[in-house]
Amino acid sequence: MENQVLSFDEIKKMFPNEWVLLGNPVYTDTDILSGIVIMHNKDKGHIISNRPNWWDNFSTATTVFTGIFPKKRYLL
Amino acid sequence: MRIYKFITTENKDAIILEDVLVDNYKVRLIVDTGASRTIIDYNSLFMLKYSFGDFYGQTEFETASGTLEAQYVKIKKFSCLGIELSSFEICTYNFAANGIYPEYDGMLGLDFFQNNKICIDFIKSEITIS
Repeated sequence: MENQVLSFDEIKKMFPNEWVLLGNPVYTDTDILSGIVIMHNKDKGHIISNRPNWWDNFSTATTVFTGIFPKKRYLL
Repeated sequence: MRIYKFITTENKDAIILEDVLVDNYKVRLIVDTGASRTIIDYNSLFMLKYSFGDFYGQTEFETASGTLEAQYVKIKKFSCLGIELSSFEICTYNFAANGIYPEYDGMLGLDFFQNNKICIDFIKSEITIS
């Protein structure tokens, strides 16, 4: 799976309800389409504290959640 | 004139922009036309090469739920809605340490939109910028 480009649907099936660091993500104005999985974890803090060096191997990166956030949350 | 699509939160009460690059790291920002400054979770900045040494000063954010203390950081390259800014000074705040785990990385404030004309069309879910 290393360096394999996966669609976001595939990523969601493989890592449900997880935070996923993606290398070279492909996206539109509104959607993540695909990317290469660098790291994944249930806890976003785990990914951040590891601070993986993605910039040596990828030109861009992003961290996305594969689940659905709870409704009824409001911004103040 | 450029047109960009946006999505909203589940409650459809906030605009989320997917296509935002901080240096080369893509973040998701809420458009907050009530905020004077752009603010990004500093955990997201740690995913770049930023560190505590890049943060400076201190400022306070007045929110409906209280006052937050934030710091400043200059972003080398900030790109959103077709606008690219260099050395863009934003505020940063530790969302996670304060129990906030949002689906976005921060908020895009009015400082970003200065010198531009924007129109938000909620019916079409589009932002027009010129």
